[in-house]
Amino acid sequence: MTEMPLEGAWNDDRIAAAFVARDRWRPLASTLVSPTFDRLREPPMRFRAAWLRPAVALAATLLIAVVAVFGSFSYASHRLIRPSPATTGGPRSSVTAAPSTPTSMPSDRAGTVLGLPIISVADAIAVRDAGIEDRELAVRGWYTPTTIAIFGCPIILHQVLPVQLGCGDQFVWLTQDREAIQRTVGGTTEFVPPKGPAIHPSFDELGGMWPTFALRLCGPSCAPHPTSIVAIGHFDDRRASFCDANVRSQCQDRFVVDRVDSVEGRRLDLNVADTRGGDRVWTLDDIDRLDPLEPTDGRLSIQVANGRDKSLGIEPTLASDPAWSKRSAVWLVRDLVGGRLVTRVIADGASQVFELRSDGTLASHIDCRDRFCQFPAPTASPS
Amino acid sequence: MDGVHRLTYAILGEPADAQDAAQETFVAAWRQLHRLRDPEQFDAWLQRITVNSARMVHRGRRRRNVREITTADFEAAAKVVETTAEGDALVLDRALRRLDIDQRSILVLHHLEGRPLDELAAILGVPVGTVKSRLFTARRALQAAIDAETNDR
Repeated sequence: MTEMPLEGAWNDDRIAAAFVARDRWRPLASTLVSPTFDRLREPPMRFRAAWLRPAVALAATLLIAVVAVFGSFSYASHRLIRPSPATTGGPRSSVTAAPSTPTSMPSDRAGTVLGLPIISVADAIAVRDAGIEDRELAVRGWYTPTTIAIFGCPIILHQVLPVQLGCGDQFVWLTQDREAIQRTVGGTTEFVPPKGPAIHPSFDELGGMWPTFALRLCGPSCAPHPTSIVAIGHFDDRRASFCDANVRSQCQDRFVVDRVDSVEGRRLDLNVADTRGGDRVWTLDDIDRLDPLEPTDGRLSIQVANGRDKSLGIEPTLASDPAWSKRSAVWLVRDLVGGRLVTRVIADGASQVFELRSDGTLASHIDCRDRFCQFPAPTASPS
Repeated sequence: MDGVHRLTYAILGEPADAQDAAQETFVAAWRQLHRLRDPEQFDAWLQRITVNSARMVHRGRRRRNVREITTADFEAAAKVVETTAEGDALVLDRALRRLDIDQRSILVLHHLEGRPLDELAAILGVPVGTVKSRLFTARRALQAAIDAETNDR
């Protein structure tokens, strides 16, 4: 027979006593020592990966060389990459290099952004390979804006955004060193895999306009040359779980960029993407005036999108909730809270906020129709 | 070793997961020991690794969508509870399962390990203000979960 708990309020002392009592249920960890020492005798995964990856890279390079030789004979008339009707060439590889080379970034450019230390690509890879963190990382690296359309790769019918590599994404890199991964020789544009540490960034969260935006920032001479950027983002995005099993680890390794903080040392304003446009009630200023549900370390991005289509891919955990999935305009506000990403989905003009944690679980749903909330009055009328 | 195991069990509440997380902690600590620059911060450093390991194991378990049912579960559920403090422990155990892993972690570190706010900030790697906010939110969530559990009884 189980006795009822103590009567009265659960103050700190009572909680502490309950924790201590609960700890008595803990079985003795008699089997802990031996397996731990066994694990310590094994070579760590990262080290194994470090010597495996060059082997994979070598094999891939040989394979590509063979394909390239055959390709020069068999596919001379085909155009896999076409910056213009006159160009020709083919993709070479997309093998991630091991984080073995030292950073080429000057140390005096180190710093922090939104309280996050700015780290190198190699360090970011080390964090990723440790498999511990999905927290936000501020990474400095080199990005080459791509100006050409890429054809000839398989079309993915059900691509999981923003994590799954799509057509052409395998040529998009954030590299540790200033490497030219795209070059045009004799009218032929080709991509070469980075030699140093590199990761595949995803800029989908920025509304898909980022490459154009980057080009506009650094002018015509910028592309296709490597451009130094500081990007805030994360690995192991929760949406990787929606990827097919054969590409899931690739999805987990995608660096999902939530904000580009600077380009060539030039700080950028908040990333705002309007994929909806037109009829909506609130403005950016209204969203800025919303009281956050908990204190934030900084705002990463704001996006306004159509709840019926694009947003369903962005926040699939809410796709079945008609409170927002049927809205024609929703705001996706991404904040940094305690080093992690918090996404707030706000139905335009409806005084309802869905707050998602970095793991995709719904932290709260506040319906302000029944309670006082610091929501702004609408400043515009829907058309 | 027992301290790490106590912490992982308090956060995860599952004996098998707690052992896995404790193992992960020791392995990670051994391999990252060279990164510890201030030996006086060893406890905070180790607890930070412990919390991260617990999170990783919890996430891995959720991905596999498998929960191992151990005999300890049955023992705990069917246990003849002799004191009221044990009754509280049972309610607390069930209530904690309603909370997310970060909320459990901060409550365990504060209430079981007795860590003050500044040490929590060091362990979790966040500002003290954020710790206050998170602790407040977690405490409120725990109270709601306890209320739900006691109303269910």
